[in-house]
Amino acid sequence: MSIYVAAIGFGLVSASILAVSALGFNLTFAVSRTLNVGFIAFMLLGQFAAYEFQRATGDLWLGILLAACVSGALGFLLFEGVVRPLSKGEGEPFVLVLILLSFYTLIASVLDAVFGSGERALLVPAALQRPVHIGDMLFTVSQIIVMGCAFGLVLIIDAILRVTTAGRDIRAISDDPALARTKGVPVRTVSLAVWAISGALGGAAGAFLAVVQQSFSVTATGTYFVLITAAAFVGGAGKAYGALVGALVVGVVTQVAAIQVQSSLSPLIAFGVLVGVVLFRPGGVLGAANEGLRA
Amino acid sequence: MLNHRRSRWPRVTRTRHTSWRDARRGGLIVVSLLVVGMLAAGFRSPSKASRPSANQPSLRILTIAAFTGPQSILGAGSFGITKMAVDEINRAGGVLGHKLVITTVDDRGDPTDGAVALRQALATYQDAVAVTGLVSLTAGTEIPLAVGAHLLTIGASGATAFAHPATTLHADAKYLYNVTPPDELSGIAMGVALRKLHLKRPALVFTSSPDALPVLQGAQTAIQHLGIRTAITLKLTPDSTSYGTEVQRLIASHPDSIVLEVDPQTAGTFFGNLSTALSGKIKLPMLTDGEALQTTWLNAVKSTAGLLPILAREMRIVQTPLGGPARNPEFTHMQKVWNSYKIGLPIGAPFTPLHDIVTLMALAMTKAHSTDPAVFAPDMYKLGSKRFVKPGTAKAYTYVQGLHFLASGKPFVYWGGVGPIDYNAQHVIVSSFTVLHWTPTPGGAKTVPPAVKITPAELSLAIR
Repeated sequence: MSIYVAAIGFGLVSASILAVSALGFNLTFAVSRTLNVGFIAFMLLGQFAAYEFQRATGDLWLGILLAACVSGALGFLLFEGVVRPLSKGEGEPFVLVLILLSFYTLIASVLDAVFGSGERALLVPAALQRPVHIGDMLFTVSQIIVMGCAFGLVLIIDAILRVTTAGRDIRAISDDPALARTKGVPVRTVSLAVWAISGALGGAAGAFLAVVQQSFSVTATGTYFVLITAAAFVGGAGKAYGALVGALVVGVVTQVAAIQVQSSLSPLIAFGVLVGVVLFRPGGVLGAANEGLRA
Repeated sequence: MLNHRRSRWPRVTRTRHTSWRDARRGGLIVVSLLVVGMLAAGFRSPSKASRPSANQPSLRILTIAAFTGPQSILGAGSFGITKMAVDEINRAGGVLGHKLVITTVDDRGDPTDGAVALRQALATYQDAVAVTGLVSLTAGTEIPLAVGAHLLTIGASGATAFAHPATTLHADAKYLYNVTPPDELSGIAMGVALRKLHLKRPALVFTSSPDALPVLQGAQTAIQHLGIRTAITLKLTPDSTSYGTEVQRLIASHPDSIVLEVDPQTAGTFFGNLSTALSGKIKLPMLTDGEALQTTWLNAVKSTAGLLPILAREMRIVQTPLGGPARNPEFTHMQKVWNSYKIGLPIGAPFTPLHDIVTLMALAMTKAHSTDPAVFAPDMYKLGSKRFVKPGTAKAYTYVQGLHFLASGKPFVYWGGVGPIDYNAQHVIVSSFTVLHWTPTPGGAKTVPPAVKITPAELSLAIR
């Protein structure tokens, strides 16, 4: 088995989840010009909601779907209750970022108080834990399903952005909110929908992460935000496909790097890539030509 | 060069009135979120236990730990076990006529917050004689403050900085009594265990967290001195999505065993990846520490189909018997009292030795006829160390028994509920270790014989 090919396979699994997370992060950045540093809250809620829904329904994938809906509702509420009121006028963006950070702390504290800080696990049926060899790559059945769902979600969002009226409106707001408003685009409604979709993507990504990592807890997802931002900015902040490209770069590079260096250093490699991209292609690897939210 | 014209960041245009209004609205929301967050996080924290008897001068014990936040389990355990000892002492009339009281100090599991909170508590409570809690996570900032205030400092940290306290704390080291052996010692014990189990080519798998690295250093030191060859050393980033590549490297190095110290989340992912790579056929002896028997660790690994029985077969636990179940009446009594406190945790290490060391403090005060830590603390270890047991020396299991022996002048060693806690003259625990099999139980796991014993002499030989 070529360890390099195997590492690329492991990187694809990481990248698939990272792509969904970074896409959710990018969408809100594009329409609200807001760095949602509380994005991990959606993932956390998604994990715990999937856990509870799976226990209630006995179905893992239905549990994940319902969890995404719950996180989407949280995104809706976050926009209506916090982001929109604070986005009126020309307030300090820093205040909003601080509030979003507090929002993550709040959600984590509530989940800790309700569920405790111990480890939990989604019940992945034994049949889905079977190893599957594709060439020199090694996956489990559940990882293949997660990759399919994750990359599928990215393609669906891409299609929405490309061919639907809603997608056109989102891109218009991303390019110039004021102009979009004068052209009759319902900015508030579209932004609300985007925040809900971002929440749902975050919830789904959190649940996918719980499936792949085998377990989850209130504290374990905190450091993941660093990878999300790296993926988002490597691909190009505010770009839909950028999330996918950035996730592939970060996911695969960290796994391949782990062949030669201690795994504890692999995040530094990812950051090396991020710094390189920021220095030499500030618009992300997709290039500065792709200004605005592109599919 | 940054392309400002194409930047996605919004341009900030200051308008005095709207900016202030937004900031004020933002501030209100921040405050609201924080208040709700603190309420949510705080409603599980224990209440302060301060019940001095009327008209009695009190001696205060400060218990500093995380009482809110994700690490709040540490506060609950530290407080509960300290309270158990204090209640027992107060029921016997207190110490030299003083009642003991406890005041909890919340460090939220953060060393910086802990330093601020402890400084404030030290300034507020002039009647404090001792500080307990002080787990590894926060001990780095808190222990120096506590010993610097010349209070009896009962730590629960195996951190490297306190393995040789005289080097780091200088003259103030005499105030420190840790209830856990140095982390390096656990690593050295793992190295000796490899030798005893005739394992010659281990893979070392550790998380790159501050609490795991001293264990790794201890294991590497022992392995080098014992002439064992390491197949591979993997330092894992905690909470990664996948350790697939690391598992492939491990398999390619052809180890005959795995020595590991990984947190629950990392263990869940690592063993899931290992099981997938070996198609569920893991046949490698493994050595780890007692954390693997905790419910949260087991919860993390049991989601991988069929893994728990494999780990029960292949993995052995290297741990100090200190703090574990003891066969004496006091431990049985402690178990009953602990259960009546309804703390929600099983009795056991690392908390249980805290009960005995607080009791030892009270006996040392009585013996020295002083509540001044500078007087009673330096030689406190002599009352409780096994090395001072001679023919005719009695064993005191309880505070009342200890008081009785002190009154009668009979030589005794305080054995306590889980002891004796065998300190050397530097107040460092010189513990034996055992290597045990384990088996899953409905509520978690328990160790099962036969045990391979590692003596303190073998530990010192491994690094000579």
